[in-house]
Amino acid sequence: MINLIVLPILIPLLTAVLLIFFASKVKTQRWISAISALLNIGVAFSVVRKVFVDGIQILNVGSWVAPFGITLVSDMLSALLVLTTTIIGFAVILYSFSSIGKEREKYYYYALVQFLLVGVIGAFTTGDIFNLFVFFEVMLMASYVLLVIGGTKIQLRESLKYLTVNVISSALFVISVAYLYSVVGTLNMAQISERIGSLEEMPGILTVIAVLFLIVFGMKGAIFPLYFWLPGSYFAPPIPVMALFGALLTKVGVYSIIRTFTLFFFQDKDYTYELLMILAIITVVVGVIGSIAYWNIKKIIIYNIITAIGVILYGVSVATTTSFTGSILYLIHDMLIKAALFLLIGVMIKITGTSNLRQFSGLIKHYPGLAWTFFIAAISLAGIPPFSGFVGKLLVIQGGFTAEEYIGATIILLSSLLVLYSVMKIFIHGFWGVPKEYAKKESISYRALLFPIVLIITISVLYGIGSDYVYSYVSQAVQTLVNPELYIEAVLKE
Amino acid sequence: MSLLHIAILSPFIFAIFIPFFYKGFKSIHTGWFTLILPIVLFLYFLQFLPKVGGGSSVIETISWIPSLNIDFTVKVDGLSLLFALLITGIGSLVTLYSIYYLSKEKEQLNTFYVYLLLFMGAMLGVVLSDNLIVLYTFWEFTSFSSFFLIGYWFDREKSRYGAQKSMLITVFGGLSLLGGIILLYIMTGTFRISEMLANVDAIVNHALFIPAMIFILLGAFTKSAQFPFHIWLPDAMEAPTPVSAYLHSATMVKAGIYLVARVSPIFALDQSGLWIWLVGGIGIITLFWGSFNAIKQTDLKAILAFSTISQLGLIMSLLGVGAAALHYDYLDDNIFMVAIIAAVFHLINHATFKGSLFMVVGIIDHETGTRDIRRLGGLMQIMPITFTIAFIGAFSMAGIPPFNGFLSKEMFFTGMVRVLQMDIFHLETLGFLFPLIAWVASVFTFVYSMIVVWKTFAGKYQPDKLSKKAHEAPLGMLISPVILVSLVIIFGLFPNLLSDTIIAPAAQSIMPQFIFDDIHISHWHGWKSPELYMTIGVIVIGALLYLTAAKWKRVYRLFPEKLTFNKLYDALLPSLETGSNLFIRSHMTGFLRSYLAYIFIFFIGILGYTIWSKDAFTINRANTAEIGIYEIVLALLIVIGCVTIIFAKSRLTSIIALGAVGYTVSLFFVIFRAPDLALTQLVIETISVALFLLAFYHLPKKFRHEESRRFKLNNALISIAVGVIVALIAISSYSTKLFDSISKYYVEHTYDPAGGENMVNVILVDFRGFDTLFEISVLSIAGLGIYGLIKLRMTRRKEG
Amino acid sequence: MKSSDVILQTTSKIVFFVILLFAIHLFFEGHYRPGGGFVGGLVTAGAIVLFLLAFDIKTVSILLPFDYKWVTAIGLLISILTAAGSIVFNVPFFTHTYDHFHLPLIGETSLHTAALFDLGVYLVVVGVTMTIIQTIGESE
Repeated sequence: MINLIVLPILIPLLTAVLLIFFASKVKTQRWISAISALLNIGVAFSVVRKVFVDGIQILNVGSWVAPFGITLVSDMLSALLVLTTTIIGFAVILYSFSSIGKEREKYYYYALVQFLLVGVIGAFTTGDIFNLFVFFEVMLMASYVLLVIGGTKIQLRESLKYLTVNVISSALFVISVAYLYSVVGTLNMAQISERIGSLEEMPGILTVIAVLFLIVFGMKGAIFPLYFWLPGSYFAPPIPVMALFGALLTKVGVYSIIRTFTLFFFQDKDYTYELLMILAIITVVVGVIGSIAYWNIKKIIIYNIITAIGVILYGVSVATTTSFTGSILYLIHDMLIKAALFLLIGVMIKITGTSNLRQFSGLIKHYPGLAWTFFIAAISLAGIPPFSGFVGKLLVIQGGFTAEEYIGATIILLSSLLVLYSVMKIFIHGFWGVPKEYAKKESISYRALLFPIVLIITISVLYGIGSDYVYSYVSQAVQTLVNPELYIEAVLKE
Repeated sequence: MSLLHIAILSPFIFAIFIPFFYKGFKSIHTGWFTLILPIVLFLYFLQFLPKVGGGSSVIETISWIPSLNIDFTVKVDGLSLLFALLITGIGSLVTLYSIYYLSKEKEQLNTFYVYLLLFMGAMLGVVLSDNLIVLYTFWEFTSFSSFFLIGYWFDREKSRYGAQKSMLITVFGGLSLLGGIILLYIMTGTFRISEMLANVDAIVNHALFIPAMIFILLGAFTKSAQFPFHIWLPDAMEAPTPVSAYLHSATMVKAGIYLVARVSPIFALDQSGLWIWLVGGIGIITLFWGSFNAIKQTDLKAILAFSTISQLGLIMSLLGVGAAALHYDYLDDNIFMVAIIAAVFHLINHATFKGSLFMVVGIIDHETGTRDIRRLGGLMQIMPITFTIAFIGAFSMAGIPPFNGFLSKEMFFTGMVRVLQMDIFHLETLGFLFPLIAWVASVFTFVYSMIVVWKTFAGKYQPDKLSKKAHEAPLGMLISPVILVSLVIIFGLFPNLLSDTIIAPAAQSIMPQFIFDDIHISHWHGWKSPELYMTIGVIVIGALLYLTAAKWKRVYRLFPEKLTFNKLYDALLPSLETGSNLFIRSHMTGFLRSYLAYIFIFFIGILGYTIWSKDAFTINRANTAEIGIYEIVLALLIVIGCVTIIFAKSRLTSIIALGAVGYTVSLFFVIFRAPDLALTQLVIETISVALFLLAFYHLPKKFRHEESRRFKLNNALISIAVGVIVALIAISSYSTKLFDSISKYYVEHTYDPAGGENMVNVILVDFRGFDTLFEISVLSIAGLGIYGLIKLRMTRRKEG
Repeated sequence: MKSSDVILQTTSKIVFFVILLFAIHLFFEGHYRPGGGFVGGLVTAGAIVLFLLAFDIKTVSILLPFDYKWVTAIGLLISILTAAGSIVFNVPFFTHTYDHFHLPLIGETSLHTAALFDLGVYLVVVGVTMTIIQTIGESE
């Protein structure tokens, strides 16, 4: 089936359109969403298998040969990220059933989630720099709407900031693509890579464009000093949306940095990668500072997004096989665990009616399952073995030390402690202590909410314990990163 | 998977069944069920004794992450066997004891025993893993199981405090250890200790040797509560007493000792002397500081906590000093080897007497309701058996014959006195500090040992100060401490029961370069031995100090409370939090305009710098057409339009100006012969102006705030700079066309095979129709979004 | 936005159809001359806006009784299915096909799947623009 790799994009797209017709029938919407999401996991998995067995898969959309048409490219990196995305999408959709509320459901919530998935998966799959922009737009437009839908005051206020920042970054994106096109005369990512690779020396303007791309994607990925919009904006939407944002959106920015920096801007590393490294390290520090500054559980987790971005990009900036492997392992881990953590604090907020850690305690007495799931998520986040965050972090640090980048590696090593502190603070103060009475607003379906979380955590635990199995896939993903020839070969030379 | 692996994993598997047992057999104390496992494991490990006797070892491997050289390799040698026996042996006794200590009616026994088993498995994993990553995994597991056991009574504020403190400090050490492991891996390419040992030369001469050593020592020192990281241990006493006896005295805190012993064959070879000074020095300081502080405590458990710190320091200092042996000829009768033997021997003895003392304190607490020596006293007649146990335990701890503590304390003195004969690493000048501090600390040890016994059992019985009527403990509770003090006596009288079976193989693992056999531990070293006089001195001066304690205790007031490391820790967390909060608030203003300013300033700075440093600005006018009058006029119109938008006093003017800019742009398209674009741009402008007007109809009249001149000026500067940067890059990009554009292909293929005549449209629906498909999706989303935004107004209900 | 300008109303009725015809023309010309579904859709929407200005939102809803969200969705669906049709023939996604036909009355003409795709674009543009205008207009 030559169209296999377009299916993970097409399925949510069709589902989204279908859901528009069923707007008023909430039950039907739920069924369609869940079945489609489950189906997409299956398809994404078969893409991973296909890539694993047969190597990089490409699809020249419209039969126009590369580099003239738009080419979709599934290398292992994108296939794995797509698979992770579909899993998170499925879990969040399940969680939404008993969380998001009928009003939002009738106002196209599920359709928007599917559109968001289209954007994210498309961005991971495309092999065309302008098409990447288009998928960014799909993703962003869906995220604007998901952020604002419901129209509470805080949502409106934060949407405005989010929208402005992202419209600016989109504008810069399109400008950057134009500049790049002017210099290299093509939009096909493989051909861009090939053309830049054929230059004996990277002209200064390409370095400038590399930095420009870093700014564009850094704004999405929330690296220092471009992250300012994130803590506020991610604070506003309902929990499932927050989980989708936290797990997926910033990661698309990170993916794009990885893709462009390994495929296009692999020359003049002394400048661009060094810059990336400095920013990544500061990002880790700033994220950690933010996560220990607050007693609001949402804020704590939100700032942890920033820390993780820093860790991943540090590994990228070191740019050795080991550090890339660590970054990719950590990236996938972080997508899963962030989704789980957001959903977990969502359950806590449902139970207690507040996100202020000083106003509740003793949850472990009545909700032991929640407590233990949270604990595993927390130590996974901090990279405690044998859970999912460990091997990634190990390889990032090992890569850093091996490359004699001691400062960054040590900072990342020690950042784990403060990350752990920030989340265990929630455990110690929220789950331990004397249980309190909370004003029950409505009965919540605790089990139904916990199920998707347990699903993700189970996957994450298996991911950690089965690191060797995962490694065989991830190391294939890294091959393309350290050797762009493989990518070019697959796309341009059939 | 070998039996050894199963032995390590069995506590974890067993733990899964605990809740079922707890729920299923409410009438039987869950401890009985748990007890089976450590006993079986103890017997299982006993049978390794003959196997490792001759210095050989048993290795088993199952693969875990072979791609990264991380395999679950376990190795039983003398050192790990010693620890495994301690873990399972003391584990059995503690479990038995806990059955009487913890009430099955009041306590959550299921969680308690799950944690205990998790700890047991983790600790076995630490001492039996040959692969350092696996060791690290179990290491962190011990930290977390300790965390849960300290926080067992989590509704108490102090338990939570103690749990968090121990976790932060030990996990910090754990991470540091991980750093050290990674450095070792970089040096050797393996995570297995046994393979590193084969490659010692490569490590010792590597530049990363010292950093790796420091990283690993940080891990060991935090875990084994060495100065100044000892502060977590006293607070860990919030755990139920069986836990304190087990984790925080006999086993977990010795993991640091184990680690130092384990890596000694590598790091003791250090040529700079740092290892000896760090391990020995920190150890001896800890010994002193712990014993000194134990005296001022009034809580029996606190005394024992500081005592444990002190004794851990003692063992640590022996390991440090013993390392010197490697710097002298590798003779089998190397006089510095004794320190290593003493370390192993004292490790065993400490487990016996300290374990029994903790259990005694637990009994007193259980039967009288307090552990405060100011309220206790006169219990000798009421609790005679408990008194006897306490007496033996404390006297052994004080180093008084004929108990085992005396023997190892004498050996300790021997080891320390021999430092005087060392002439390397400045030990010839400063080495005297070791025996001196050792002796002073031993005096203090004597004093607090006496306090433990006599303040509790002698003196006047004060029933009014106790919440319960005191009576002797139930028999079951006494079994475990009685067994332990029996060992105190047995090892005291017949120390050579241990010497070749356990001590020699363990010492052998610490220093494989030597052959340890024929170790003979004797009670009497003759009249000339300095140890004798040191011991006599300890007893005499110690007794004097104990009797005059009331007079000299004022000395403790000389040390201001504010300057302790404890206070530092307490101040650190809140100030870290407030500091972070202040930092975040200083720039996270919540105002979009500040965020945009930060982003744009970065944009200007970094791109400006890059353009300058890469000399990236180029301008090439070879391909540019003449600029005609039309272009100039249109450009001017655009500029005027933009300026109008900024300075307009009403919305309507702004919108019209914006429309004008758009129309002018479409005129540019006309000039450059792009009718499709012109047409689209025109219609878009029309529709969007209409939409703007429609939307603005609903907005309040107030249009803009008056801002300060300074603010406006800053913004003006930023926007101009952004504009300039964007323009510079645009010109440079246009001037640097390095390759042919792919656009020719479209010209050639529009009619055939695409079947169209209008290239723009063919690009839109065919060549790049994929883009269009998703652009119309974007449009659709926007439509749905605006519909939802306006129609759905939820009041602020609960979050989530 | 209520208006009762009789002249405007009468004129707009005529102009509406003129613009609409122009829009349809643009749409069909797209493949060969400037135009296409996007512009066609926008112009159509413009025509309806004019109608709106002349009458009021209710009148327009009665005259053109569509749920524009459905129009959008149908348009999107047409475009997607056109592109996805190629999956059935196992050729790469979005591969168009066309042929020349001789149709009675119209004469020599070519039918191109791209036109079908463009129809979807047209519907989406009309649907979205009208959804927005209607929503904002009704929210008074």
